[in-house]
Amino acid sequence: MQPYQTADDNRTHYTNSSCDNFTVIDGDTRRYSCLFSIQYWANPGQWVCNATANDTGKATAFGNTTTTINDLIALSTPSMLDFGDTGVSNITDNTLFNISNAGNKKINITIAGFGNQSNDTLAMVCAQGNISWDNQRFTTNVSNITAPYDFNAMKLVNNSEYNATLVANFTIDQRNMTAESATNTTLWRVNVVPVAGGPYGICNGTLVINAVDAFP
Amino acid sequence: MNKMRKLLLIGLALLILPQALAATIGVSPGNVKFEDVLQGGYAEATVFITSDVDNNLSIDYQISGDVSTWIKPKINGTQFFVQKGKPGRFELVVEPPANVRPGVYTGKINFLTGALGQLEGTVGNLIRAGVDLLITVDITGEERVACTAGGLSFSDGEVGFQHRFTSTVLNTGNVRLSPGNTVRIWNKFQDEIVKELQFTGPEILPTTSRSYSRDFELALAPGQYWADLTVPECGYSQLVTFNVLEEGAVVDKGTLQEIRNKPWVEVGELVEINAIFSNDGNRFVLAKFLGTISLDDKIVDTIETDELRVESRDSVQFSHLFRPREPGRYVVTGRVYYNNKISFEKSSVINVVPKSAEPFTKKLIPYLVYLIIVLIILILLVKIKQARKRRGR
Repeated sequence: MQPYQTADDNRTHYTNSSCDNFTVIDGDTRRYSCLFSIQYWANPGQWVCNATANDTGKATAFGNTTTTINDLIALSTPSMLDFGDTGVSNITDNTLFNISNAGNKKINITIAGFGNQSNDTLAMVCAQGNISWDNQRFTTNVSNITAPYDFNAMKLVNNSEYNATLVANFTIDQRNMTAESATNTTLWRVNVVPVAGGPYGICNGTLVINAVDAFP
Repeated sequence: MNKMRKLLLIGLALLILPQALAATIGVSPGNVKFEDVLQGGYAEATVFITSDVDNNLSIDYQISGDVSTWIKPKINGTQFFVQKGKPGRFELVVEPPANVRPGVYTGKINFLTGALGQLEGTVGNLIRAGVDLLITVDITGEERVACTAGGLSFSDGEVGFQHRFTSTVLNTGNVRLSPGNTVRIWNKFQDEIVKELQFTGPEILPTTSRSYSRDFELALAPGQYWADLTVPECGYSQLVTFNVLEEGAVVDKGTLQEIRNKPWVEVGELVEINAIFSNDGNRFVLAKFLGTISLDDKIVDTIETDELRVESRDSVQFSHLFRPREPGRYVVTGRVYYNNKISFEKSSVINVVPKSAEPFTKKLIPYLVYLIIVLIILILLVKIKQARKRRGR
């Protein structure tokens, strides 16, 4: 809750100073209707609406009421993580993947990956052969990257959808002034290890990116 | 290949390359807390699943945790669809067993999208985005009765036919509730109770609301009546008016919209008070405005206007002039009487301030006028005297 003189901020404070839509109730009563467009990243919880009225006789009065904005746990991701074309025995280039907070509370992220279904020990299923679950890795350390990231220093992705990896130190804040303020970036690589009969052809898997309230 | 053709082919390639579109999924509220749920009791909650995907997006859900066996979603199957502008309404019911110990229990529901895209490259992942709805259930052994009510009404009816009472009640307690209802009926002048009715409403589950109605035959003479409608357990009552009609009669309906006057005047200033009345019925009415003007709860003037004919769907303005003799806050109160019926009462305020002091020069004007007249008379007298003297010579 902010004092009503505070500057507008889409997280905490909105002002409508041209509210003139009213219905006459009787000779000394009018019912005014004032609208506010609230952004999705407005803070959840109890909000106070302060209304001040001034009349032509220079009398002034004010009142307030409360309402509640619910919390919104939401995330936004690209629809795919595409490593492009690569050859057997190669590790794919650094591929960045952004995850954004589309709600109004901080969120933590869990990640799981599998080929066909949860707990199948695979990261990807190929036209011939497969890529096992421990050959797809990621890191959240993405600043000042100029060379392919050390694959052995990257984190594993849990193969079980119901026991997904909680990404440590990766809490994504709710948006503030810009959308970028609510986006965290991960970096991914896949090691295409040769196995008997492959892998060969198109290799696809599924990543489950899940958001949970960081401070319930 | 010339440069222009190369650029065109690159442009076409960019157009047909797969676009890694973003997709959003959200749940609101992200936490649901069921408080004071009775052992063996019942509670409901609703959350909304939203997405910004233009096409139908499938959402799978899975319940887990201590409360997983208590939660029953009001949805068939484990999948539903959402899209941009069409959020999914997910209603869940909690019914803890009767033998569960009081305490706090938790669980969650995971909502997971279907695959969001289509890969074109050799190596890649399809993304499924998910959100967790956290659930907390606080179990208690103490019963609590509470509710809120609204939307009370009592309908018109012809002689010998029934009148309908309608109400909406929200059960905010933790036990099933069958709310009591009372209807106290007054005569037209609200000075005599002519009937009292009581009945019990239908059972309403905790955390849910229900609208219900009951019909009554009143055996009252035709005319206007007032009804106090009360739901005592919710601490709510409402005064309404209704009519008992002659068989085949047309009901007259009128509304005193407002009483209008200048809000700030000076002592001695003439104030016009206007009462705006609209005839909402299907035939004309003969109407007049009766009211009082009070200062400090003492009546200083009464109002009774002429009777006017007001056509169906038309409005009129009843006017009355009032001159306040002393400063203060005057309250104008009145009703419109039309075709043997009375409207709801309305009021207005006149703020009367002392007369403002006249400028000194303005005060002098009458005296100056008198002085000028006197001077003119004196001058004329002198001239007459002089003229007589000349004639006398």
